[in-house]
Amino acid sequence: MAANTPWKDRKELLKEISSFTFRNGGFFKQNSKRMSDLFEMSVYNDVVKFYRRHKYSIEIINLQSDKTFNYKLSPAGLSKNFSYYLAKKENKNGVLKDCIEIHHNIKIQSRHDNHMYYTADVSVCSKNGVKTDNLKRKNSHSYIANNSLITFFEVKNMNPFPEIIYNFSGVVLEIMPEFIINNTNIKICKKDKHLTPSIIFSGSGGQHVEYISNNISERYGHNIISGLFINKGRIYSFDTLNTYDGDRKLLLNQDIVLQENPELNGDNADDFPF
Amino acid sequence: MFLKDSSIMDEMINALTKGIGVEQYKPIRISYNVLKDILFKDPKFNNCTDDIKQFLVDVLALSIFHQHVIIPFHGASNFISGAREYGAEKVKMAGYVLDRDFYDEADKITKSFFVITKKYGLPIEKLHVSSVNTFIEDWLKIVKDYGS
Repeated sequence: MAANTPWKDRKELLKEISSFTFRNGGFFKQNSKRMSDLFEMSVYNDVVKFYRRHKYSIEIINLQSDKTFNYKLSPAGLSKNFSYYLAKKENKNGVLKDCIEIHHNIKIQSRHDNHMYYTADVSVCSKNGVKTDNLKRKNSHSYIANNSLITFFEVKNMNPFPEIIYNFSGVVLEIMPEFIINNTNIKICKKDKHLTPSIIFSGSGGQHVEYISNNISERYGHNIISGLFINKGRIYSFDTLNTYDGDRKLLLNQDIVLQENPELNGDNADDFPF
Repeated sequence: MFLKDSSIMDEMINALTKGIGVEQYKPIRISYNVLKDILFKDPKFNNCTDDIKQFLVDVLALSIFHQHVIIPFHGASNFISGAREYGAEKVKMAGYVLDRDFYDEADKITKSFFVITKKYGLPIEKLHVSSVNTFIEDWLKIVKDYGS
C-alpha cells in the first residue's frame, strides 16, 4: 500500500505536481507540436520488436553517416531519403528464408485501382517492395506496390469508438480486401510470421466497443488493439494477436480484379498535389 | 437538476497545465471540461462525499494528462532506445533532432511522473477514461480497497 493517499494528502500531491510541471514545462512546450508523432514512434518500435521476437535480424537502411535515423513524418518525400528497417530471417544453414522492409508514413497502393493510395502509419512489405514513379508535373513519389504489401498499422492516440473501428474495415477493404471478402482463403492464427492489418489505440473503450472489436477481429481477422497506455505505451500481448503467413500471391489472383482507369494509364500518369 | 458543485476545485488540472504551452493546454482542457461535465451528471459521482468527488476530479485531470503528454514521451523513449540497438545515435524528425539529451529528458520525465503516481497509490493502468462510468467504478473500488 502506498504511504500516501491522494484524497488524504491532496495538498502534498498538488505541490508535487506543480513542481513537476514547473520543472518540465519548457520541455513540454518545446515538443508540443509533435506529440502524436512521438506516440506513433512507439508502435513503429513495437512492430520491429515483433520481428525480432520471431528471430529476424534487424538493420536500419539509409542510416545517415552521423548515425542519424531520418524519420519520415509525412507521405511527402521519396523513400530513398528516409531511414527504415530491414528484417531478415535465415535458416540454420544461413539460407535466406524471408526478407522484409518496415516503413513509416509511406503511401500504400490500393488493391482496386493503381492510382489510389492510403498512407499507413507503419507498413510492412517484401524487400524492394517500394516503388518510386514520376508524376505528371515531373515530381516523383514513393509508394508500396499493393502486391508487395504484407501488412499495415494505423495508430490513434485516442480512445476507440465504434465509428473509427468500422472505418478501419473500410480501409482494409480498400487495401487488402482479401481479409474482408472470401477471407476463408487466409489462414489466420496466433503464431504465424506476420501480424494482420491492425489499428492501435492508446486508450481503451467501454464494453460495447470491446464487443465490436472482438466481433470484427474474429470476422475479418484484423487486429484492433487498445489500451497501450496500460503498458506504458507498448503493445504487450503479441501472442494474442491475429497473424498470417504473409503470402498474398494466391490471394491476389482471386476474387478482386484490379481496375485500370484508362485515362490514368501510363507510367507518368499520376498527378497528385503531394 | 444536477448540481455543478462549486466546492470541487480545478487545482489539479491547473497545476498540470500551467506553463506547458497553449498547444498542449487547449486539448487537455477541452477534454477535461467535457469529461468533467459528464462526471458531474453521474449519479454515482453525486452520491460520493466531497473529498471523494474531489479525488475523482483530480484523477480525471491526471488521466487526461497521462494520455496526452506522458504516453507520447514514453513512446519516443521506446523508439530511440530500440533504434540505438541497431546503430542509430539520434532520430531526425523534419528539422528537429531527438538526440541523447531528448531521450534522457523524456525518460526522466516519464519516470518522475510514475514515481509520483506510485507514491500516492494511483495505478497507471487505471489512469485513463474509457468511459466515465467505468472510470468512476474503477476508482471508487480503489478508494474502497484502501479504506477511505
